Amino acid sequence: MKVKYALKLFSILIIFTPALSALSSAAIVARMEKAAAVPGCRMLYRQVIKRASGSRSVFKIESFTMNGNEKQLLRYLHPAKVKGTAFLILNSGDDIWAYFSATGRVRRIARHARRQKMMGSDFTYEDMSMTAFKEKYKAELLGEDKVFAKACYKLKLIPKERSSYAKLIVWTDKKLFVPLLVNYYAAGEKTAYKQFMQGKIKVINSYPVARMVIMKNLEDNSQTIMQVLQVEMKPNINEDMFVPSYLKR
Amino acid sequence: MRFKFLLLSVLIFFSIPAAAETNRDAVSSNELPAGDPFGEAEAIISSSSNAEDTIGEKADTVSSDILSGYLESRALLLHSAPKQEWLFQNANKLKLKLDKSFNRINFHSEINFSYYAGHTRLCLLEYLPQKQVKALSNLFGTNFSADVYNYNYNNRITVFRAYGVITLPRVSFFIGRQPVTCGTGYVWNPVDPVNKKDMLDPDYELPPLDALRVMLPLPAVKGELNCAYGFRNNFKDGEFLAFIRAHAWLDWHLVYAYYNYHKTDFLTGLTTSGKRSLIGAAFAGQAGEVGIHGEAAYHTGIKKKATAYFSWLAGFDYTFTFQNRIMAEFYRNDSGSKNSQQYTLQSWLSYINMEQGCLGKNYLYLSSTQILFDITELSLSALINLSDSSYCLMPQYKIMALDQLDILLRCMIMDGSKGSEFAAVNESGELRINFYF
Repeated sequence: MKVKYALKLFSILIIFTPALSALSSAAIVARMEKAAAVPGCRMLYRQVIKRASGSRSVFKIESFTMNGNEKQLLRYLHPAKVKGTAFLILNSGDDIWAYFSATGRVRRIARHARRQKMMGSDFTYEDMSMTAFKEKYKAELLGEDKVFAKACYKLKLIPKERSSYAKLIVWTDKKLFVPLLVNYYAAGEKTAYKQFMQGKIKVINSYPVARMVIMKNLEDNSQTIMQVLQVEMKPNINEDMFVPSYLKR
Repeated sequence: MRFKFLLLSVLIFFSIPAAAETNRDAVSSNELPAGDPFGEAEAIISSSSNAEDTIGEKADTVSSDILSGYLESRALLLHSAPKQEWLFQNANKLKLKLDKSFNRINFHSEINFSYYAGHTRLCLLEYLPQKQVKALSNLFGTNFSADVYNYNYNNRITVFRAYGVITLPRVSFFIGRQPVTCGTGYVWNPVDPVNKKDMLDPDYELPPLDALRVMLPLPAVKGELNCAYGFRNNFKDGEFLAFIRAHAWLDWHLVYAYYNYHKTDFLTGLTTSGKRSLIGAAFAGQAGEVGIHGEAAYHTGIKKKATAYFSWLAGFDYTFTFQNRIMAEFYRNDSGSKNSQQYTLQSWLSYINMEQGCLGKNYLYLSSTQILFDITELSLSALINLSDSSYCLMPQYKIMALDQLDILLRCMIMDGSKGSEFAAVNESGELRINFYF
């Protein structure tokens, strides 16, 4: 009789062990947000836009971030044509202001305009809110997979609010909880039309930092590459810089 | 029985990772990137960039260009309706920008070198309705080529901007020749008494203000208070502009200004000056998916020397998924005339000399901009003077293919009844090339 119960218990344990060891989608999303929640950071990027025609544009951008991407300030440093142009992104992408040096005016970017490409790149303004997973998406764990030779959780994210995307499929690193690959789908489409990739990850001050980010437009055959040139962790970053008036300075 | 149960359990145990594997197998080839995207990206970067930008540069030194600028060359073709001839002008501007940042101090300067060729002397009377010119000739005879009616495009060097910004923890100071802007409108800004936009080219750079500006952050409304004092000959002639710019819920501005106005009597050539005050408000936000903005301002004459008037603006914009942006703006200015019959020689010349903001009372601006292939932009705008039913259509094509070059081709097709605002000049075209360095 005891053997019978022991076997039953063993069987039940066997059945539920994988479920217990695997994280829930909510837990994965929480870990992803935690991994991205750098208190303060300054980065210098090189951005290369490669268009379908083969033509390329190279930009240099300085960014300041606070609490992950909750507050972001991006300023174009090069080339001269766009030098001084700056973007302020607050509330994880809900509020965006742009300053165009040519006109000298700060303008708020309305919600509908967030599907526009940002300075001709393959990133839209909406893509800049990618880290607020819990708030903006309903997550579902699809399973496990390998991407770029790394074990990943595969998640389906459905936007909670109106979005340019019907769904996102995300492969997130099982160790570092960094999204290594994100596929973007339009409504009614089975194939992704945009692909976001993060690589060359280095852990700095216990936060994983992707030193190369790629956004590919699979329909247009264009891509935008962001290469990190400098990273400076700033735990005590000055919050005063994340106001629209700072864009003009 | 228990062995069957155990077997089932083992099968289930192994089936979970197997299901995940199956899930991966079910993934279409489109889902996972082919090849080595990062290796490919590095190859693109190395063939696109300068070698000096390497990872690990000293974090404190941002290799931003201190000296930059552009050469703008404009070839303008203008059809003068009264003279029935085509006029050509080549307007060039070399702009040098010098920016330097220290710890809490930023310095910005711009120097413009402007030089012209072709038709460089503009007789304002050639662009006025015949009725107005006849009225003038009746007064002065045929000899009315006084300098007050002519505008000469002379070669010149201008310090366009030169100002420093001192940023302290709770206050910032902007000192020198600087841009001071407020308002949310695109073509017009009723709340902005300092800048006078060109209605036909609202994106063009605005003249600066020689001022001392103090900016205080207002965290409660996520904004700041700006107080600017514009320098003039003596302290009491100076202009004062104060505005709160806040970003709580929507963007809104509250403006108070105490500014100078000038009025030239074009019959006697005498100029009178006075003071006006302005109280205004502006906002920008969204209604559902549509961007909306508006401004309203009340101008009063100090000591009742000038008439008070009201002006306001309302507009919206929307971007479609196919990267087309539409915009509309309605502008009303009570100081304008109800119809072309009310236009006088004085109002025409005041308008041309930018002493008066507009001729008519009501205006409408409509535009549609389509981005094509990421490197070109096609737009069609219409500016309609609703008071005299004249209009200006502005098709425009911009090529932004190279980082160092912008090419803009635009023309203006104007029409309206005799004596109306846009009837004097029928057509004009412009090729504008900007070389950036």
